[in-house]
This record gives sequence, C-alpha cells and structure tokens, in this order.
Amino acid sequence: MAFVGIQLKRLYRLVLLPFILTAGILLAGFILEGSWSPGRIRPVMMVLTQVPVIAAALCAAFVLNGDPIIELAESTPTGWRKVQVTRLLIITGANLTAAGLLFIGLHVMQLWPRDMGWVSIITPVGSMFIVNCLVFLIAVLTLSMPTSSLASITIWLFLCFIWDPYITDPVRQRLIPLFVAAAGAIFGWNMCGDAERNVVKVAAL
Amino acid sequence: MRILSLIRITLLMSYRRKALWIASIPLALFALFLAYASPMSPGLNTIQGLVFTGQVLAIFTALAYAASFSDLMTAGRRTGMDELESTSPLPMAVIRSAHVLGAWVICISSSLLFLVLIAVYQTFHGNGKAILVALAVALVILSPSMLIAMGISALLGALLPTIVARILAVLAWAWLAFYTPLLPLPTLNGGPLAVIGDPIAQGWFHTNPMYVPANGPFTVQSGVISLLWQVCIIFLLFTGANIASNHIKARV
Repeated sequence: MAFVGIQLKRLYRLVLLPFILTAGILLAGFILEGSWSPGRIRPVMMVLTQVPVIAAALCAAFVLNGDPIIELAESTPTGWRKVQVTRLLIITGANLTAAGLLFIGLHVMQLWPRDMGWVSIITPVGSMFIVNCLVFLIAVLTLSMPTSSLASITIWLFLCFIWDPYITDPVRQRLIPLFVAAAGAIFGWNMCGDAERNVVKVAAL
Repeated sequence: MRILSLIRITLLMSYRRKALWIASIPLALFALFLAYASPMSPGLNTIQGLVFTGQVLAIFTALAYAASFSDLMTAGRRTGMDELESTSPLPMAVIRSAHVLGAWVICISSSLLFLVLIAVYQTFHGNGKAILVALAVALVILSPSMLIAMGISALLGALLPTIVARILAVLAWAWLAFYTPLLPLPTLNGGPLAVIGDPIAQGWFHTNPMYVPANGPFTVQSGVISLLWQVCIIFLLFTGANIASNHIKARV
C-alpha cells in the first residue's frame, strides 16, 4: 500500500483531472438544463461527454511513458512492471470512477445522449477501460510518448466515429472491444515482465 | 548544399521513428473509412471524391497529430540537444525548420499514400489528372491543416505542461474543425479563414464545402486568401513555439 501511496503522490494532479472534468460537465448540464431546450443541449452533451475520454487517453499515454529510470526500477525487487501497472491502475481507477459519476449525474438530469436506462453506464465506463488498456499495450510496445498519444487518439477516433455509430446496442457496443482491450492488456502485462527487453528498449531510445 | 544534407538527415531521423509511422497508418485508414462512409461523400471515383477524402483526412488525422507533437520544439531543449545544435554553423531557425519538416513528412506520408492509391485507381479508370490532383490536395489542403495542428501542439507544448498542452491542442483542433452552429461560440468555418480547406476545395476544385459558406460560394480568390492566411498562421505558430521553447530550463 505504501508503494501505491508513493505513486499516488506522484500522480495526484492527474487523478484529480477526471473529477474536475466531471464536475465541470455536470455544472454545464445543470446551468443549460434550465435555459436551453433538450434538443439543443443534446449535441452539446454529446461533445462534452467525449472530452473526458480524450483526457483519459492522453493522461494514460503521459503516465505510462517518459520515465527515465526504468533501469533503476528493474534493478530493485519491485521491478518495472509493478510500477507501470500500479500507475495504470491508479489512473484507470480514477477515470472509471469519474466516468461513472458523470453518467449517474447526467442520467439523473436526463441529459445523457442516447440514454437506454442504467445499462448505458457501460458506454462511458467501457470506453475509459478500453482506451486505457490499449494505451498500456502501446506504451509497453513503443515506450514513446508521441506514439502513445497518437495511438490513444486513434483508438478514441475509432470508438467515437467508427464503432459507436454503427454498433448501437449498448452491451454489444462495449463488450466486444472490452474483450479485445483486456486481451491487449494481458499481452502487454506479459511483455512488460521481460526485464531485459525493457532495459534494452530504453537504451535504444 | 548544407541545407540539402540537413533535409536528408532530418528525413533519416524521422525514418527512425518507425513506431510513429506504424501508428499513423491505422489513423489514416480510419479517416479514409470515414471519408468513404460519410453521407456527404461524393464517392471515390471522381476528382470531387479525391478532394473530399483529402479534407476528411486533414480533419481527422490532424486531431491525433495535435496530440502527438507537443514536444516538437521542447524535446531537444529538455535533453540538451539544442546546445549541440547551436554550435553548428547553420542558423537555429533553419535547424528548427528542418525538425518541423521531418515531422511533417511523417504526418503527410500515410495520408498521401492512400490519396495516391485512390488516384492510381482513378487513372486506370480514365481520369488522367487524378495523380496531379492528389498531389495538389496533399500540398494545399492536407499540409496546411496538419501543420496548423502540429503548430498549435508545439506552441502549447512550449508554454504549458505536456499533458495539459496535449489535451488542449486536441480540443483546439476539434473546435477549429468540428464547429456546429448549435454552440454559441465564434468560428472560422464558413468564412475564407477556415483552416480545413473549404475555401481552397470549393474555389480551386469546385467541390461542395463541408460547412456552408456564410457569404455565398467561395471563389478562386478566397482560395488564395485562405492559403496565405494559413501560411501566416503556421509561420506565427512555429515562431511562437520556437521563442517560447527558448525559455524552458534544461533538465540537468
């Protein structure tokens, strides 16, 4: 737990970010609800609810890359994988919680776009999980922040503009990419355990 | 000669960033799919289709490039590489331009590849000018948009912490590219100052613009104005990023 505490201390600003975004969007919804018609709020909310996903994707890319002391972590009994996965879990946990809160708030205000009851919570929470897992895989593969950022926006682009508009059933919409993302994360977990590869990869940069 | 060798070296440097190339291919593919599936699409068999595809590629791939290039001007500063570069006989402005050029090559090539493939397909079906149009689209529609997205990213990256800069750059580009009239925000879209190539596409290639122009259809002149305006923005963004990055303290 002390180990998690240290990482949390390092990342606390990024942990706060999704909650600030959630609060901001809920506030915007609260203000607009009284003055605008639902037909006018809907597109605004469709746009605003994508902002936390973009932020989460880029945060994950930022957290999982650019650490200059991978070799040092590998030389201790802790190992680099534990550091990396702890960071991923902290940032993913914060994003999932914030996304859940965002959905609950907007669902209660009846502002969530394409709301199909409580099952729709899988939409924001699922996208956070998918994006973060896949960014973890790419971060492990490339160890490069520009590439991970590029890839994180590519994944978001795919989910937001290609997958979601065509697969509209909320469960199927999220379950299939969730399995892919989980498989990707397991693959990344295995690869990240290879100490020699991590160190050589850093040396090659 | 020195400039030529600098360009060669910059291309070599960008060639080495293989992961970035590989990541930009699915990005361009997704944008290509969006261009193909869009209800506004005029189909891929005409010049109009080629220009439309170019615009969609510009809008969507630039989103990711805005996220990716926030350390374009600052990476050298943080690692101390710029101290080495400042001992070379070339002016720093030339070296920085070469860095931008190298990044631009990475950005444009995957999109250019797909545009040229479509053009080759059209050439075989009797459209002789397709290849020329594809190259023109890449030069006057794709490149300015991508360079603006990269410039926004580089400038914000030099002014703000990396993660804030990345998020803001994506949002800034999203605002520039996807304004809807339902939001009460001012916008460049619909006027000759749009940065997604509408004035050029309609003025020079006679296509339907993405956003209906506010004051009648765009003419050849509005295309010229648009291109000059975009060149000005690009110049200002990168100059600003360059100046701002000089104030970053090197990490020792």
